[in-house]
Amino acid sequence: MTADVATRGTTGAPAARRVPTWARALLWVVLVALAYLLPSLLGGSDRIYTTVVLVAIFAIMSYGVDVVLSYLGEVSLGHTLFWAAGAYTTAILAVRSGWTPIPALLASIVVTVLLALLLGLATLRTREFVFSLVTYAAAIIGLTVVQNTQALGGSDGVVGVPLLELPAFGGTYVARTNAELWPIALVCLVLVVLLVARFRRSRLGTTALMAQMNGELSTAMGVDVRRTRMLVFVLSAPITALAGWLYAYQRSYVSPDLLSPTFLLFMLTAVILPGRRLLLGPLVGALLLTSQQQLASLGGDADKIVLGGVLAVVLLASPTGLVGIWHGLVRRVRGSRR
Amino acid sequence: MILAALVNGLALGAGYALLAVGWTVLLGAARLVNFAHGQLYMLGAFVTWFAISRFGLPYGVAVPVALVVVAVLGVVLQLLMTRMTLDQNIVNLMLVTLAFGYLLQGGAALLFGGDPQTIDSPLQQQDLALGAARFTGQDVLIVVLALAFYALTFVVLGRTDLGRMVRGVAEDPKLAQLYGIDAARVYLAVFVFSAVCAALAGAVVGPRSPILTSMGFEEVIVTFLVVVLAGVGNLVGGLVVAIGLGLFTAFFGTFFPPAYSTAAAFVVLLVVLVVRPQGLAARR
Amino acid sequence: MSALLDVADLRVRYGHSLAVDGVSVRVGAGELVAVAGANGAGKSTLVDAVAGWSRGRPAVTGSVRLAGQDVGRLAAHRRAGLGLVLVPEGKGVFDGMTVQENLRVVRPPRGTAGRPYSVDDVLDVFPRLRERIAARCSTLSGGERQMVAIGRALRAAPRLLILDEPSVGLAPRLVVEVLTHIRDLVDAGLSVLLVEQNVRAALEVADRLHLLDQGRIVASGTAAQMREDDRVAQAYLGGLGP
Repeated sequence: MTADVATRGTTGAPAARRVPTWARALLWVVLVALAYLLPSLLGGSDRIYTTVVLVAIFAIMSYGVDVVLSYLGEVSLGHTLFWAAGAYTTAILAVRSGWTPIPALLASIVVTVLLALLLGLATLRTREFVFSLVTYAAAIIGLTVVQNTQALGGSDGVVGVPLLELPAFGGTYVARTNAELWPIALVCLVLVVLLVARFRRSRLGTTALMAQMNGELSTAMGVDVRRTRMLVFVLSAPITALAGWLYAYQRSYVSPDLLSPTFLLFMLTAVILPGRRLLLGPLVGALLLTSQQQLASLGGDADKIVLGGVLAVVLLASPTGLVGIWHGLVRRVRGSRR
Repeated sequence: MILAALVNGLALGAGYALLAVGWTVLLGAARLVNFAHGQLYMLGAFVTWFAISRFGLPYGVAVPVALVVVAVLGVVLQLLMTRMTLDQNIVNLMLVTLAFGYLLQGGAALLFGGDPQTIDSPLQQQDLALGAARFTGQDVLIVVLALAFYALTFVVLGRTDLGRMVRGVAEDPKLAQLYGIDAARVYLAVFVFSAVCAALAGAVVGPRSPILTSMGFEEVIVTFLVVVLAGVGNLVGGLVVAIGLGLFTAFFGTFFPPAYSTAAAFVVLLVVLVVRPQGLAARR
Repeated sequence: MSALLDVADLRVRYGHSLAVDGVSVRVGAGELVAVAGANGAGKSTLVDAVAGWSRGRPAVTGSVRLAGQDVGRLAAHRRAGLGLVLVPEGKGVFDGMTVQENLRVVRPPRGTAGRPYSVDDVLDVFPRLRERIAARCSTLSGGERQMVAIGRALRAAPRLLILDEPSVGLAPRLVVEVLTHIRDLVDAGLSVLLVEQNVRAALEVADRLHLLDQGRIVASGTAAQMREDDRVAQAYLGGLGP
């Protein structure tokens, strides 16, 4: 039973099994190296570097939602709160108190974990949609509160976030441009993907999936569904906060728009468009959406229609996402060959 | 000042009640959490404004026009979601309504522009006074409509065949089929009713202050506060909580920065969720 | 002769398991046909599929004809509207409503359905409900709820009434009472397909009986024949002697 669930949760598990571990590891290293070189292969313009850095940041942001939505089956609409908390904590500490990036990141993680605990505890005993509503309300109200609180910069936000400086061999590595930020963003992305991959194989990951597939059965098998939900939710928050941390440095300012439904819709669409429960799904989703917004933008309001429209169409036409459409096509082709 | 806050709170609360009444029925009957509810409210206000400013219709005609437009939109949205509603796929229903809301907001921004607008209602110019408290004819209209809609919904749900069908589907949609009830049509009726209530709320509350196409998100939160605090499907509780929330907002705004009033109400909700997850008014 | 209900080669599949495997059943006008069998034999799955109703998502093949009309592809509420009315096993009434509301919420028949019963007619059939008319169904006894369930089915003007284990959970005296009511309805012209685990009780009232085992019909005949049938006697009557 457990094995069955776990297998279904892993992309292309049967095919991957036959490949030896070292070959798979090598494949991943080659993939990461290719990803690193991709922007320069595409011409290396500033626009390309901006796009790839944003893809990495938005993908990390979406992985937080992915963990909750794909494996727990709960809709968290409050991850913009963690995204903004990560960015705001970083910006405020860096601008006003002169904190360096690593301590700022740790502080961001602490803040978001506390927020997630608070929201998780408040919704511990509630039914499925109340969880979504409370998280949604938290994000929307967070937007109003941040806009009106001068200590958080009000509607102007916090400007003048310094450059991202990390200790490196023989001094410091300073990310002055998006091209220089790219290696850091990529490393963060790879670490997050590794973390999610680890989570999928972990006891917590399989338990979450079981609780989603059959809550009653897993309760009968001794799974504490509430505890699982809480743990997964709290784990997911710092992932999104990490993206917020990066974004604060990338954009060099933070503002209340981080809490706007735009980022919320982006996260959800990035997970759902490729298909839920795919390891690289959120990355592919973030890639598609960011490319559209950066390289083929139709203007703010029209982009909203594109984003909302994509999400609605996918859910109505193929709730399993592009992968579902692909499987459908493959089945049809095979069927017609017979 | 107390009296002024009381009157203002009553009008606010009545607006909330009107906003929430459809959702209460919808959530009770179809277990459908409609995140586009706030955008339907926004459209109710903006179509009214558009009908007045573009076609020169009087307010009294523009409101029904807006209701019809939103009702048609409601039919389209629910027909798209019929399959999901019948399957009770709550996760996807939430997500798709969220997408609809965002889509409607983007569409409205393109269509109506990004500027704040005012709905010209003759009732808004009618100043009335009760002691020291000043209010307008529009406020009276909101209170009267809210009470009328609650009474109507109460009677329809309790006393008519349509209401019994809705309650039957709410209790057990599968069993309802054996009673010869087409659950899909009941869902459609309830969804359109809910959409029309939201649009009406937008059309009558809208004239009180400038309207923006970006509004609607806070309205969903208010609706949700009312429905969850009252206990899902509890109609009378919904009215009481809505008025209470209106009074809370008005009094809070008298003493503290009004921008934090929804946040304060939300904190109350969090406390309630921890202490009484089934809602304030629910008996169990 | 064409039967009122003609079910041919019905197969119902849940995932990989075949719950009903090629069953054919006919019910003539004014006839009471019983389907008996052990727990898990596929009785409920069979009649649910005939009514186009299920709480799961089974794959159904085969044909279901009501008075010659193919209804096999219609949704349950459409079949109910045509007079093919099911009273399911277990929860068959809206608990949150009163007896009267349960009887009134039924959609009136469309087209050429059977005899419509008014609320008063139902109360004539089940006089015991008259005094409980304003009671919430959640407060009723098992027998009373079963009467409400059958009553609301009669309100839908059934041409064919399907009853799934109406006697389950009832005291023996009530079983007789409920089954006697059903026989009276049949004698008044109604056609009934009755699912019963209690073979002895079913044989008391049925005209014909099918014995179902592991999704297949293993024995069929008139009630008189089946009383003599060894398989029936061995499987059910012998062990359950008086």
